[in-house]
Amino acid sequence: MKLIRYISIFIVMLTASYSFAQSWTGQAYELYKAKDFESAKTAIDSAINSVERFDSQTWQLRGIIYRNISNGDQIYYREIALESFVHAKKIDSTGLYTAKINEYIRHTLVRYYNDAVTLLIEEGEFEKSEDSYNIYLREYRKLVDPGFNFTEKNINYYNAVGSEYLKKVEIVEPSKKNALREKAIEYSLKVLEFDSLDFKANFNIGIVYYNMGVDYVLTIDPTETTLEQLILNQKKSEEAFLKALPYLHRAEQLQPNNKAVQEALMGCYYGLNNNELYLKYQKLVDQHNIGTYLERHNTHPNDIENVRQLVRVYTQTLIDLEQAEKFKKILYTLENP
Amino acid sequence: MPDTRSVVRALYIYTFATLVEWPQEKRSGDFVIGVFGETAGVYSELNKKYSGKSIGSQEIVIKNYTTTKDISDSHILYVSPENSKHLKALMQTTIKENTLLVSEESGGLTKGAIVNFIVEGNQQKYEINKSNAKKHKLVIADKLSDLAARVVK
Repeated sequence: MKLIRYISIFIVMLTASYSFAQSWTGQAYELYKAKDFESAKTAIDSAINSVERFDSQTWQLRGIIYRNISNGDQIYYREIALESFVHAKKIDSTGLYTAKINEYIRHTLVRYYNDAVTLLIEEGEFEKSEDSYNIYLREYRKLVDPGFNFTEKNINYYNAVGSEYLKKVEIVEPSKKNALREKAIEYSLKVLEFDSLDFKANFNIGIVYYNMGVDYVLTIDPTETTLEQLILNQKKSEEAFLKALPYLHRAEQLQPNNKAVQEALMGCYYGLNNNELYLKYQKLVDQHNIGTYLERHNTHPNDIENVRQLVRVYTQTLIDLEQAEKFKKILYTLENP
Repeated sequence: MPDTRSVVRALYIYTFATLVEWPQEKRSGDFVIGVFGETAGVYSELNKKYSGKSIGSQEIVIKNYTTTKDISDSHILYVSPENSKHLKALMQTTIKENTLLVSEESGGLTKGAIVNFIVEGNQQKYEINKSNAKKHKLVIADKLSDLAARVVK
């Protein structure tokens, strides 16, 4: 998901109503140009307590100055910036600046969106990110366009949240994984409410359930488990694989030649002990991989695991008895040096 | 792709070890689990997770056999599907060693296996032949029978 960065150029148009250079607004503008934002803020606050408060440009400049200092802990300055732009528009009786002010508002609001992305991807602050994203939606509707269609943005954002939860799953201890997976599913389902044919959301949900199915089996403590627990975990694993299937098949319909989808379907059917469908997807995956296996064998002829894969491929999926025999002999030699 | 099937089979084989009683003379020394088949899959899983662990006071040793003549005294012998054609012969050779013969073959129990892995629905299950167990002088715990998909008396 991309950050949207706007660089706004503020050009203060001099009006003839007062001597600009001697005005608070003029001073604030000079200070702003000199990047002395704190002093510019003081000057522009003096301006709105003077006769200059009746000039839309004063409020526009105030918005721009406050927007520039609204970083980090001073994010509330962004609200002041927005209030200033709104006021600037209100007192712009001729409508001369309306388009420009709307741009300022849009560029200010997009910072909430950018914050949402940064908080999500760089800082892992999921709740703060969503708060910022919701402010962006709410204020955009209120201040810019009540009827704006956010579907595409929502899809991108919620998919990004789902993906970040999936990334986090990889780095937490096993007992915390499923809670994060549930969150990933929750956000991917939000995407599907907007577009049931979104590839990423379907794929992510399928992967989450597939991984859950695998973990129900892989995380069983080998020496502590009872027969009852083994049977129960197999049941849970089966349920998870079955839940994955409709999402993965939808992803497959959307991207029929996607290897990652085929691998996930292969894994599900393998876990479900469905040999016919497992081999169907294994074959598709092997068609993607065979070149890599052969190339690997050329560069690393002693890679025993790679040779095992070649034997498997030529005996089970891309059947070639001659090749199978060749690699079986190589495997035998490697296993019995 | 994680080999979930082999993980489940290895787990079952370990639990079989805890729920079968061997004759007194087999309750000392190493507890040998043999795999007649390729080194990947079940053997690899057993070797990785159970080698060096124990059943009672016996240390688990995992062995891999690639030919019938390599097969030696084992408490449990898992015969992979590609070696199922040897089941009948193995029944004869393992009977005096009180080996729990485990297969994964349709009709495995009639070919001499005591436990046979089957797929029912989407799950890996097992069936038991108590008569074959008796011939090998093995006592199957009630729990193992109760949770089996099928029991041949």
